[in-house]
Amino acid sequence: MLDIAVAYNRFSFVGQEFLTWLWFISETQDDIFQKVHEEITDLRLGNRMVLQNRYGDDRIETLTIKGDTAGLEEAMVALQKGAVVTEMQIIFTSGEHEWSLTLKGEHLGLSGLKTPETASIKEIEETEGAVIEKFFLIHKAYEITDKLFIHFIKIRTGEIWNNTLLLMREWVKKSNEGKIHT
Amino acid sequence: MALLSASTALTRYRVEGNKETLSLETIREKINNNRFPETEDPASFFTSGWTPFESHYLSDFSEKTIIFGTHLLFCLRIDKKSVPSRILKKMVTIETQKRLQESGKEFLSKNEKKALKEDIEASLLLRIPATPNIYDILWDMEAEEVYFFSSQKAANEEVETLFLKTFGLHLVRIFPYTAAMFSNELSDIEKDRFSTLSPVRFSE
Repeated sequence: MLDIAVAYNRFSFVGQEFLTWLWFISETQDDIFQKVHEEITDLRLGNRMVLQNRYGDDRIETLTIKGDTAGLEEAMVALQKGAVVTEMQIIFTSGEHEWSLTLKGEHLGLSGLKTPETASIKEIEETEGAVIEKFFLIHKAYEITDKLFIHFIKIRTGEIWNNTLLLMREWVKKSNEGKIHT
Repeated sequence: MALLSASTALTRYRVEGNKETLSLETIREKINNNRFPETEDPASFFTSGWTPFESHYLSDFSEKTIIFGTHLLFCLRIDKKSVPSRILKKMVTIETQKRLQESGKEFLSKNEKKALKEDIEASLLLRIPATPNIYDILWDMEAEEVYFFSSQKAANEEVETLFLKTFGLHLVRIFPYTAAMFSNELSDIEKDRFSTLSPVRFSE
């Protein structure tokens, strides 16, 4: 194992590539999600995405897209210019239950995590049950993001990656061409 | 942003080190030994320690549980004092004026200004109460993972430090590299390949 601090900086790009791949998959091959984790019935992007473009002279350009009516056209243009997705809100459902969370590529940390609703605590004796239920739902969010991340790493380190990269570049190109024509 | 909140932020860690000598009773004792101090030190601008999940402001663990199902749950409390910058600026301006009038000087030297500001800040800190912040920490003993309910850098650094001091165990953050290296779903070949990865561009 590498030194943790060195590895943190050296491989933060893998998390950013993972988010970009999630976006690509959600638009082109969303049947993969159920293959990765059988409990996922739907996975889609939420209304928040942050992209970053680093230039050679240490300048950093950050693009934040948020809001219910925000489209991802600008994000796609940024991707075309060489930006990476640094954080992204995803929403997934399992049966009738829905989870919403923002995933940061750099450290795979979760924020704004909303799990399916749990019963409110009326008596102090109900605290333990509430904690166990809530943690089960939080753990489920990690279980699913872990499965997706490991699936991506298998692709990223496998022979299939070159083809996936070609498809992703084609997706970026076509998405931007589409915008020019409309 | 606590465990039972509607919306929460988390950092996940793997617990590294020798856990064999840690019985539940030992863990409880160690937590209690590093609990948040019951008496506030007015001169301290930063205090931290563990508190029970069910009583954030009374840190005695003797009557409180840390066991919730198969997990351990307690809290990190961090009390911090900070002087609002505008109050500090106001006090420094008033005191500077007073000193200039008393001494007949036209201005204070750089060192005098610095010393004056530090004295005023120290005296204000004694009078200002500390603001408490509570962060839940859930220890999944079976999976050897800790879920810390914050993604703030300062809180993360403090939990890592206090956890090591309390239990002699390291909290190793789960981020892309460690997630891959700790995974038992990736082969050694895949892990080796991961270590040689370089960034790609998604545009031509």
